Amino acid sequence: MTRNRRRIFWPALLIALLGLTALTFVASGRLRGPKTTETRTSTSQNASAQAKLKRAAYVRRGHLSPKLNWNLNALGDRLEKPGRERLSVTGTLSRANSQAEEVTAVSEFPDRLRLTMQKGNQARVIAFDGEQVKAAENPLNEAEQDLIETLVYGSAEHFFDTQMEGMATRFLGSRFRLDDGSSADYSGPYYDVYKIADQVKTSAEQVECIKLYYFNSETLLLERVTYEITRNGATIKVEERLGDWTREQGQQVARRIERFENGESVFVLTIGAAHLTARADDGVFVN
Amino acid sequence: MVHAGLLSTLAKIAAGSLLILIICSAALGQGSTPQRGFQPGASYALSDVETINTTNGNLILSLPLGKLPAGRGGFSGQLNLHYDSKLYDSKTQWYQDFEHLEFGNPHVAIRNMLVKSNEGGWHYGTGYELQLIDRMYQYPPEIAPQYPASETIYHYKVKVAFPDGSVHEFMPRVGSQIDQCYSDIRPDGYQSRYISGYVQDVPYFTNNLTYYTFDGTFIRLEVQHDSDSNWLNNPWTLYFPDGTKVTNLGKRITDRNGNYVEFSDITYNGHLATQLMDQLGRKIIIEYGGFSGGDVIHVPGVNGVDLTYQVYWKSIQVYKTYSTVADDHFSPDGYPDRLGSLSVVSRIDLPAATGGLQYVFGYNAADSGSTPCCTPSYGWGELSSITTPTGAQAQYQYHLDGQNGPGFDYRWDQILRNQITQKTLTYQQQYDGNSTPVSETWAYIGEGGISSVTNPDGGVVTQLNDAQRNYRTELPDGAVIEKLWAANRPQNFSSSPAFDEYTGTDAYDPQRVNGYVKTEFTSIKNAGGTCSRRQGGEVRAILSQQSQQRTFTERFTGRKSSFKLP
Repeated sequence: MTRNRRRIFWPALLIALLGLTALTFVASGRLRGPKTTETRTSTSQNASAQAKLKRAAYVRRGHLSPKLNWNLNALGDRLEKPGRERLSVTGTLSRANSQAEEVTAVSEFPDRLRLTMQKGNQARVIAFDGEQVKAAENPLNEAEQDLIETLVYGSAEHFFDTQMEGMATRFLGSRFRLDDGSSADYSGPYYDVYKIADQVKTSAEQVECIKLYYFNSETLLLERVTYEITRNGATIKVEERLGDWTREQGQQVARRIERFENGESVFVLTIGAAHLTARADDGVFVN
Repeated sequence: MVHAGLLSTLAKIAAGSLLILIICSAALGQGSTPQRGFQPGASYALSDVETINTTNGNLILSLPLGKLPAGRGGFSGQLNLHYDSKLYDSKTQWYQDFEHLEFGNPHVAIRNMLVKSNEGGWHYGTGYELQLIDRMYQYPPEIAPQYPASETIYHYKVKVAFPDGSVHEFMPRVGSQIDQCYSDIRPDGYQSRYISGYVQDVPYFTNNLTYYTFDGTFIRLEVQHDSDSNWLNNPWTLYFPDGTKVTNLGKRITDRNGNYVEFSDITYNGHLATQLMDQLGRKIIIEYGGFSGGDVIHVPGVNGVDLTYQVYWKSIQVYKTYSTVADDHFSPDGYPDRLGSLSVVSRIDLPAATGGLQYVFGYNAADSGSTPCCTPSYGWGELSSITTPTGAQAQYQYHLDGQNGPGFDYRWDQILRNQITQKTLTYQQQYDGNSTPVSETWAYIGEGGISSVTNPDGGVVTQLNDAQRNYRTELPDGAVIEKLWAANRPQNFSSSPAFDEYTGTDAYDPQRVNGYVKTEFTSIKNAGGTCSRRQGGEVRAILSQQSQQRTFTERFTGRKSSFKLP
């Protein structure tokens, strides 16, 4: 290489590398979506720093055990990336010995729900922002609290939120069957079961509740949630069943949600139409 | 011509730079799993139910909760409750920081998230679990690598979790490329291919797939082919060197004579339960939530009497933060994250026939709800005390205990390395009807591969280890045991290197795979308490150890001989 060539070569190489770096970043940026929000704190181990934590807006697989990645896959990708965060459904809520109500529900991860119940000419709106539940006019009665608990805390979305929040979780095992195991030709479902010390916030007080989440071992979708509550001094066994999972815009949506107490059906929500849209900052979850 | 030549040179350099960038990115870790349970090559301090791994400072408990009577050939099933103080795994997560833009785009930080491991902490030993790891899961969908990046094709890794909490990695024997032990083949025979503009899994192998360990356990895994696209329901078999095999999705354990015991997950008394049953129908049952505080273990006693253990569970809150990134100019605190709560065993009541005996367990974190939200715990959630049925108490201290407040900032890898530093055993010494309280203390120090255990009598055991192996142990009497390791590289073993920042080793190094102790030397001090320097000889060339007498053992040829050096 001549002296002149050397004089040109090194500055040119530097410029080319800088240009290449810039191009790489610009090109990679095209693959990236809109802004996401995640936790920022100081690592100093003191309580005031800890209190600043915000809830994650998306499920991040870095917080999941390897097995749960496959359950998240089965659900779709709307909990992971922007575009289809908001689920809007219309359906019918049927209670024992009561007139059916038309229901419109809008939900977003994590734990956000706006529920509009129409009974005749009367509409009742309940909003839950994940921390506080609010309703126009009268405060929530017990039945409405149960409804919110089932629709929010009994969902697959909430299960993944418990993992983002680091709630105490035990994996009890895989392929549980619902009989005593003596039948060689069992044809019922098999479940992978997780036990979670959940924090329920549907009333003024935050309550710890131990819940079992049953994922179907074949479909990997959430089908049952069981736990116990105490009402008027008596222990009640609650079971929430999610069924009729169907694919909507590439995402799985449970079309039937039913709550049982001590084996008796309390209500069933049958979903007719479901639609997925992008997250919107329109304040619908704060009433 | 000059201009064209320069451009050509620049293009080559630019392409090379880009390639280096891509390779560096690909070589970054995909997370770490601390060694749990029992691993070949590691060193352990053993007692009846407690084991301390002197290689990584891990506390392991294995509490027997019931054993079935011996069957044919003495084969029998036993239920154990295991604890492992390595509570967390790390997982790599690519994170977009929209608060710091570079050329208009968010800065991307590679975070190392700690996630509670199913094999860490407490768990019942109820079978084996096949795990499939997909390294594409470390990326948010919007910044995941695109084809032709090798990660998009070679992204599957197979592991099996054992009842003792150890996790063993398996290498596929498929005859195709392996990239850092990641393969394009799924256990059910599907292959990742680039078709019609995106990567998808398509049916490929229609025979059984064979995998093998390379960590010295010499275990083979065979996954059967089936007709659906769900790998989770494919039958598989583990073959052990002693003839034992594991089938029925990790639930049936069969000895080399065909006798077996089987775990099954069922419903019992209206509760979920796991049953361990032998061929004669004798069974042990774990009834989850069998009472309000936890689980009931049903064990058959004499004449079929139901002996019940009660295992109490509770939640503890850790609420400590850690840095997920070592150095990042945009985040001086290293993109921190917070640990939440853990589910732990608080007490075990032994069967009533024992007269109310129990184990009680304490932790270095407060019970959930006992302190205001988000108060950081004393430690990182590990077991800190055991009170045994006899009343004896063992107390444990860990390296990172009590380090709260400003200035105590930790990275994820420091949390993974947290280890026991002290054990104090307090008990009543019974002698001729008198009892005297006794307290004994063991001190454990581990730093940069050199660890030491100081026993209650003041004797010190010093070891030279890496994350997987013990190389040199000096006993309190001055005797020195040294090990020379060799590799037993499987045929056609091929994997690109993958250095693990946490362990400081490369598990795929051909000089390390299936490592075994080729030669072990024991040097004993003479009557004067010193080892005299030995001059000359081939052995000296291998060892720097000085001694007058050495015992030489060729373990794997079965020859054992001793010779006296001049």
